Amino acid sequence: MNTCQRIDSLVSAFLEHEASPAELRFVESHLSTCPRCRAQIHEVSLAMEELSRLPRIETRSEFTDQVLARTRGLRAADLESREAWSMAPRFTTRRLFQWGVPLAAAAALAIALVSVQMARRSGEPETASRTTPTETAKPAPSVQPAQPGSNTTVPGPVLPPQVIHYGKGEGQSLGMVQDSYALGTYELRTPREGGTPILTPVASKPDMPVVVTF
Amino acid sequence: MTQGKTPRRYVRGTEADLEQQRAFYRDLPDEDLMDHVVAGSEAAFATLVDRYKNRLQNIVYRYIRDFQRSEDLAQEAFVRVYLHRERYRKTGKFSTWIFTIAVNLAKNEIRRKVRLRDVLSLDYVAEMLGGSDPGIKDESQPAADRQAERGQTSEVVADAIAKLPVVYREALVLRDIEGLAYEEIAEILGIPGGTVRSRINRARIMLKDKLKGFAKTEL
Repeated sequence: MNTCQRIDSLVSAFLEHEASPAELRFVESHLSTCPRCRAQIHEVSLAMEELSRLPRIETRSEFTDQVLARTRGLRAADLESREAWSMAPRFTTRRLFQWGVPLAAAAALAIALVSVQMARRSGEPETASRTTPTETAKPAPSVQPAQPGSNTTVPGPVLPPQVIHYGKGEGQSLGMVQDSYALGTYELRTPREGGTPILTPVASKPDMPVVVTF
Repeated sequence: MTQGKTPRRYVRGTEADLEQQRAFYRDLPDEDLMDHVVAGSEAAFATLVDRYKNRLQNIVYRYIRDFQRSEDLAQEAFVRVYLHRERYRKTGKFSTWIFTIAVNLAKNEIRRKVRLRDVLSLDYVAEMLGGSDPGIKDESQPAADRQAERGQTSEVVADAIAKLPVVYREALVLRDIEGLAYEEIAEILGIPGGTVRSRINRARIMLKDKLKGFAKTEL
């Protein structure tokens, strides 16, 4: 960086009286011998004066009223949402973690209960012992192709439910959950050998298998 | 008519009620006004709007040179202040907070205008945001509104500012037009104080060079 470039970097500090004593001496010494830098300082000073004289935008008279109108609308919407929230059932994250059950498990439980009811109505037998964990899979129902000219819709393949039985006392208890249909109380347990936690009935319906479908 | 040292909490009432309360709030510092805004005082919020509306719109206007849009964005800045009023902490200046909101809205507007022009060239985008700005022409300001920029010199200066790259333009506007301190500018722009100083210095020299082409005898 040559001397004039160094002066350029100090123009603002010099004009705003923020240069250090050493910088001030340096600039003043150079200006006494350099017409280019003297012109630079002078022209930048004039440009700054022009900036300070630049007319300012005046907002329209209705500016403030328009802002207030928008915020009043926000306040009304905020009140409505607060009232709606206050009427909703309380469900806090703390309670969720207290029970130790992820939200997905609660949804799976509801599906499991419906599947159990459907299985009982169809008369399907239990497929495994209650004391050892087992998994059974039923073959998918055959799908009849639609007859030409018919109006029936051919359903897609139905995934069979997984029936998992688990005896009490095995594995580690992770907490209890009351299903939303109040059909029973279930305990979330991890298998002794590890793996995915499983819901198992512990209260009024100990004989009822847990059916988890996905 | 005042009622003691603290006015009654504002409930939607007459225009006279609002004006009475505005008179009370007029002398309060920004930070105390925000306490009243959080407590629900519309009059306190109106006072803040009145206090900053011109500066806010000026700042945004110098970024985008669109009168109508700068008004929209300035109003949006106040709405956001209201929405997030409970997040304001007195540890920082209110002016810094609201100017930061306005600057960010203005920068977003520049990016939006670039997208609207269907310009896919990365070089062009870099020019608009950080290089030599081809200039965002004021396409919305009707001739009558140009009373805000009286005189040919003012228009020349305004055009020269608009042609500066954004990073230099914003620093220059905040310092030499709005008169903010270097430290506050650094906080608003999220850059170190030394960078602010060097950008402002460079911006002044660039502006001087641009003005030379339209120089009066003084320049």
